[in-house]
Amino acid sequence: MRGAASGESPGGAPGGSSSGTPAPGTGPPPSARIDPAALERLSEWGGGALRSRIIGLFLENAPERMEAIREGLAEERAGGEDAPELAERSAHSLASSAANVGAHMLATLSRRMESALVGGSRERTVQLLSAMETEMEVVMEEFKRIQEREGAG
Amino acid sequence: MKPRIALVEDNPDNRLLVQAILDDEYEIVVYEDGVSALEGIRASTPDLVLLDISLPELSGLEVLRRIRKDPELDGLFIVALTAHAMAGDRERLLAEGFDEYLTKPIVDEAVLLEAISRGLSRPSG
Repeated sequence: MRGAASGESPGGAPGGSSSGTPAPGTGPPPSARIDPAALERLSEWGGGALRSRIIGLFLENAPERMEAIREGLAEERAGGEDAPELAERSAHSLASSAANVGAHMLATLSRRMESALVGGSRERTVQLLSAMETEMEVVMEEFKRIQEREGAG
Repeated sequence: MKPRIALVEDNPDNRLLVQAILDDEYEIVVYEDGVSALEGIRASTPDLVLLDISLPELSGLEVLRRIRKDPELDGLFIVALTAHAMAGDRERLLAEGFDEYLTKPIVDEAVLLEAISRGLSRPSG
């Protein structure tokens, strides 16, 4: 899964996201998962307020979208029916929102999930769901830290 | 008076971003779904439409088709916004009747601003 991020994470952030709390006052935190350029763009377009709102919307909506994908897949398994359209739409929206906040790997996984749901590839959706859940957890934590630091600062 | 742009987009963060980029120069009228967009656009025609393709219930493509069939809305400049840049999408959407095609996420706001500027400077009709 780590390989999927190659080429999308910006340079200058070799530390990864698990190496501890970033030092205060040093700008965007080092993260292999979130592209600082995407967050900087948000600030350029609407200052810290826009950035904070967009991250806030991601934190608010992403878990619901994941849940809709999970439920759609569970329904599909239980009934043998195709995953409901809501699951596809949720994967689509999650991909879009993740891309807006620079969570490129999550965006990529979500896009693949949408394609797999449309194409009815059940094995693939199970693999992707697992990868998405792992990535989601890391990304959510990262954004919560960013929001807390912004709020504190 | 600022030119008026209808933004049809179901994703709240995409709505906020586009509004943040365009708010200074344009009046933005927001619609969250295709049905309300069609109603609103028919009631008060904007100068240009930014239309997401993936909308609940009535898709962006269906909204476009209905607008193109409506003689009252003849010549309305419509820009497709799509999150998935698949091979052949651009040609397919332009052939359907979109005037421009832009992909999300918006990375360079100049691309959006230029597309709008082209649309607004086009001779009407």
